[in-house]
Amino acid sequence: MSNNTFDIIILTGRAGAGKSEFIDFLKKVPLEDRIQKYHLGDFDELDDFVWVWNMGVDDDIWESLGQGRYHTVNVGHGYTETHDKTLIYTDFMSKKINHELVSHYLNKEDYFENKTLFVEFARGGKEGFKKTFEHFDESVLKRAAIFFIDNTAEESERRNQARYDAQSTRSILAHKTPDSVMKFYRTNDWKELTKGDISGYLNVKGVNVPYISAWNIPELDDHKLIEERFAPHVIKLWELYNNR
Amino acid sequence: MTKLSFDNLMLIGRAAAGKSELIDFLKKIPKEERIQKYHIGAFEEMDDFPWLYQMWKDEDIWEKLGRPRKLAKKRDNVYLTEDYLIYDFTIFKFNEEIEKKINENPTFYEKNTLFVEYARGREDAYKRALGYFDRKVLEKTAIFYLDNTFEESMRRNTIRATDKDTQQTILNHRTPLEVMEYFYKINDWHELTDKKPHGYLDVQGIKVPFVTVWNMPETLDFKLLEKRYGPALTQLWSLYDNKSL
Repeated sequence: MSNNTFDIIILTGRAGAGKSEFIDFLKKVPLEDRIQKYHLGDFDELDDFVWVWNMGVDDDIWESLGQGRYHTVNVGHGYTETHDKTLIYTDFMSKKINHELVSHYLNKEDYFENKTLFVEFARGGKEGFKKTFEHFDESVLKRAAIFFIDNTAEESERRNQARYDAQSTRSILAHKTPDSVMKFYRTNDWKELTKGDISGYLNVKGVNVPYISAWNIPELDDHKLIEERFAPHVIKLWELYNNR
Repeated sequence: MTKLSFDNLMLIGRAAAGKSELIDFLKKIPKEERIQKYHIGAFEEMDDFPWLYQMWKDEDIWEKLGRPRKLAKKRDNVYLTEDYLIYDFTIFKFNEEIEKKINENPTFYEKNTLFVEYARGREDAYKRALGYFDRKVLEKTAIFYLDNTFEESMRRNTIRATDKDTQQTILNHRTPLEVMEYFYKINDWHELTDKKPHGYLDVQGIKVPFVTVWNMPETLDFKLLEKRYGPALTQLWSLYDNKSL
């Protein structure tokens, strides 16, 4: 790590925790300011929700061709899974993220010189985060910092419904995570992993991965207030990242 | 039709017929000149190979997680797809993705051409594929068919694999030789077009203009490529522009 910006930020939390809101806030900060204040220049996003959605769309096609659905069930406003939630959402998606990172980003020598990659996902269940991080290669973990957006299950469910109600047609942008999946996100192992600390390092496969948790309730619309909420956390995360 | 560029340009032919070569040729022409001469301004490409490749890689992950492969076998680091259904699947996926693109950007065709790229083989190759496209896609489509011999495709395909590239990757997409033999040896293009070099195909009751271009011998000479592709694109535009007459 020799540059002045983060390489990989793992942006995570429950579904409907406010990850998009955080990204939206960053996009509104002028580039030079963002680099100076938050150590974030140009950035790309890799979000496993897109893959979950595409899996559902692909299954719709297979079904129309007279084949069974492979992985998902179409519930109208979104997709849920045909088999074990941990297997599809935690194990498969985490391995796929790792594969993408290793094959398409880490092998580009100068990619991280000027860019940060946001890796976005939500996890739930007893060992959701622990298993996810363990699916990542050490080469990924060494470049990563974790920004966890914290809220309650009730608030996540409220936002999930509100996002859907605000749209008129079903699409990847206007999706509603099905209730059974939201139920899966009700509990997770984040607090257990971090022992309730707001910031620090997680030891994953012998690598110190810096993390921070940002409490994201109540929902805010005002850029100034959002900045006041998130800015100190990004600055703290950089300090941990830079000094590990 | 008042616009001056193609909407969907379907670029087809055998695997290793030279589709990338045509795209490369077009990229070397300044945009304004390309619109004037060939009716192609800004363009995007949609190719079904990355989807197939992604499905194979996903199956690698499922296999590690203890679930059996369903869509392609893997042998010596190459993927072997023998079930034709997967190729039908990608046509439906084209329909989905094109619709999504237009929903996201309703004015897409005002300034852009979309290249729709795929290769098919066997007795009912293109009849079957074209039959699965949505009518609204076909209504905006012109077909550019790159023709060559099976032997030439085999030769080019083999050259794609160098000593370094023993693994099949998205960039080094050498088609396994047995897939070339099994899948791409014959196709129905000449039967479908009645061996005409250009004209209209009737697909689902829609007039779809086409042109067939003989793409041999292989050349990197821009002037020669211009002589080869230029008249064909001009001919295709004339058919496309006049199809409602």
